[in-house]
Amino acid sequence: MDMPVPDPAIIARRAAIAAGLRTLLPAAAVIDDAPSLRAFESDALTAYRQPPLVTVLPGSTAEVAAVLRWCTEQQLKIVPRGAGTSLSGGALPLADGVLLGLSRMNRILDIDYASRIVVAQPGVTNLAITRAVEARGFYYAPDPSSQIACTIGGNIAENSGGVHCLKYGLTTNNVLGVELVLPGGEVVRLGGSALGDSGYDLRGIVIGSEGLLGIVTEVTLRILPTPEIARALLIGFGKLEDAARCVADVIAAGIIPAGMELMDRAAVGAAEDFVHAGYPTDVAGLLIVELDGVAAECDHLLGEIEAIARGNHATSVAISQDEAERLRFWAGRKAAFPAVGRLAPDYFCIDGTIPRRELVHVLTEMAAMSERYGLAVINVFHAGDGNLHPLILYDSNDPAGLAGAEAFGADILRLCVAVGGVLTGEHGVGVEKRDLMCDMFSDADLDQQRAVKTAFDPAHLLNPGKVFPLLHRCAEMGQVHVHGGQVRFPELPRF
Amino acid sequence: MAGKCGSPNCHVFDMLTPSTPAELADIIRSARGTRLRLIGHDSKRGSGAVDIADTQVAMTGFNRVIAYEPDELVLTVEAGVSLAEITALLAARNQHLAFEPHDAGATIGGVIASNLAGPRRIAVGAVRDHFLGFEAVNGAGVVFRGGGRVVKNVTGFDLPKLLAGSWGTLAALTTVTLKVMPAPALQTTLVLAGLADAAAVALMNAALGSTAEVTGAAHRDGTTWLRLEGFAPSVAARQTALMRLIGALAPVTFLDDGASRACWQQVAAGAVAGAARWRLSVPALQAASAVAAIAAALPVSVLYDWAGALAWIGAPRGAAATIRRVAAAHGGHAMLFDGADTASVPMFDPPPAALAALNTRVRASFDPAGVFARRF
Repeated sequence: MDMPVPDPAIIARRAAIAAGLRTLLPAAAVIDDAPSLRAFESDALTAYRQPPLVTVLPGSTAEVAAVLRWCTEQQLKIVPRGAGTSLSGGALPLADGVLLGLSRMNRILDIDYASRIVVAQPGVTNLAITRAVEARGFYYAPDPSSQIACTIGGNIAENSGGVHCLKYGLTTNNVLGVELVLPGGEVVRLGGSALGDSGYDLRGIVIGSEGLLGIVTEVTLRILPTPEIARALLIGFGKLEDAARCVADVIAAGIIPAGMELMDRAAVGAAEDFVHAGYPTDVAGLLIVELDGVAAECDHLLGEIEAIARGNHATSVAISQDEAERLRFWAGRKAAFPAVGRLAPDYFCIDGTIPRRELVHVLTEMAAMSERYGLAVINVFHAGDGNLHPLILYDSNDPAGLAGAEAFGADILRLCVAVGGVLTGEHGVGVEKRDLMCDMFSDADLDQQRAVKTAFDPAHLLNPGKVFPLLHRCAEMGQVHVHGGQVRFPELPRF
Repeated sequence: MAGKCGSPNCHVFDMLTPSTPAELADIIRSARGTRLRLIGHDSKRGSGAVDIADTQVAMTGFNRVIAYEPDELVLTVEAGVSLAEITALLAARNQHLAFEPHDAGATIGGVIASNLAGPRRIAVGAVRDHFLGFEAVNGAGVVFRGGGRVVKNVTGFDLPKLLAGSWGTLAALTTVTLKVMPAPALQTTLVLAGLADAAAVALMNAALGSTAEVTGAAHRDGTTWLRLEGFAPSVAARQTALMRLIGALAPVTFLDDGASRACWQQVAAGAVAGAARWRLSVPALQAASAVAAIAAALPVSVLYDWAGALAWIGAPRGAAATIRRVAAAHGGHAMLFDGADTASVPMFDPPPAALAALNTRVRASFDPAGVFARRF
């Protein structure tokens, strides 16, 4: 993966730059010794590593603004970082760039239950928001699988999703406003707890901008009343076509479940071997459908969905009778990635979205590619919204295997785009899919995005080398590399 | 490409009527010295600083339905298709645009460009939350696309968010993809009598904080409306819960499905009496005190929607200073929607200097020469 060529003159000034930053921040908030910088050398996309020039950990909006103003004066590149759980390399440092970590800005500033609003600093973890409000019967809806560690600031950078986003939306649909520091140090407030428009929705363009437009220093979030109850169905199918039609029929019946997850035969087998969730293993596809809301609604819809499943030749239908059983239905799905990790030394996790009607076609094509590349692929699928997570198994000790897996992954994403889908449903472009952007967008499309980037960041100092191809070049590059279980944050669930 | 004008507003000037992105791009590239006002049905000609000297570009030539895929929950249409046509198309498959458009007479391009969502915004989000992707022509005359045609997508910048609510000042939308949703099987509305504004706002917010899943919360002159939608058994259960929450606070009557639909169309339209119509947007629980502060200085007519987060205010001419001062003091802002003063008063509150400069740079990134009429 090519990154912008580092400037040796800047690297030579490392000590002076650190000294300059120490005039703006407490001494401990500026890190420039090599062993400590190693801790920041990659995010969860560990195939790419690069210790930063220096790391700063500002503790306030004023400190962030001071750092950005100073870096802009010095023409220094800045890479923002939350918890470093990105699967697409969004927080990969630059050898001649300042890594700006938001981990010290980790306080919840206000909780207003009557207005259902939380104001938080960017370094608060996703789950900490829900933990802070759940005793009063509220929660924060977006639930990326890394939610125990990932930060709300990182969620905003990536527009994070989760298994419930078909019903409750992505981060962008749940964030009312942000405070943003621009590269020149200006502080602007975009959106807020007043819902009406007041001009351009700059909040909306900042969310999902992968740290390229500014540094978010405060977030205003919408919280929701916790649903009365959640129930799940576990439905087995002899053919994937039947499972796909069942999902379409549920939607056609006017039902938007809280989650709909499909696993293929190989994923079911791997998960069952790993956690023994009691899944039926003689199935071509296993569908989990979750409903939430008032009990009367769940009871009604469970019956409707069971009938739809049986009408589509389901081979088994189980309905959770209590919370323990619901969690057991989910246990295998949530363990699918580590389960697959036991089957091969390495895997790539791909993240494309397709129109759901293309599922069977895409899986058939993927099976043919698997044959051609001589690499196994296992599929888990956010079926409700068409977000695929194929896992390609390979062995990085075999150089041909690594190259083949990278090419296989790129082929899958190109296929997603060719059938009307997109390169990434929730993991972001980062460095990982940067060089595939030309497969989805024309130069004119990308030029408009670059022009917006320039409006926020005229000198292109924020997170260079991410999202946009360098020199308009579109090449085949890699995906999530997991080697020998040495994934960063191995304790985090990934699903 | 020049054609007859269908709008009452364009008796003086010819209107341009492109029907392909290439034709539209030609118009934009050759527009030096004149400004282009993009219009659909021109149903919001009363909003913003409309200069009748601007050349009008009718977008109604972009009138094809490209793809409607009910199972995928997506609809792709050209931007000049009328909302009425889309509503009928979706209704045939029991689906709808969940954000509940304000203006039934608009084109879909106008709906998106104005980002005016109706009462259900409190439950499902604004227009922009349902706007997935587009093709458009920017102010340099370049055809470009943004977003995608699937509901879950984080590839590149989320340009649809920025185009929604841009009032035709950034780019001319030619094709749009929207997320559509199943239409609720039925609805019912609880009508509460006799609550003062502050009590009504408090109750509406308590209802939104409960598990009753209220999808409409409006109030006017001592009458408060709370809407429930969904499958029959679910609505019945939530109605019982909501009645428990209301308790003895106010007597309650009910609107059946048909009456409920009619009631919320009225709320969505935001009808208030006055020379100028404003949309006051403050944190919901501040609404009653903000309205009281305005009413102490001016004769106003008020309709609260979004549980108070939106107040339509009918006000006399020259009310801008009062309304905007009160809005700011209550942590919000006020949009001059239509009526008197639109020629002299900006649609939105003037932003702080750093934000104003950023807005200007963002606008220039789409329309460097200022080809598109400003509107705000």
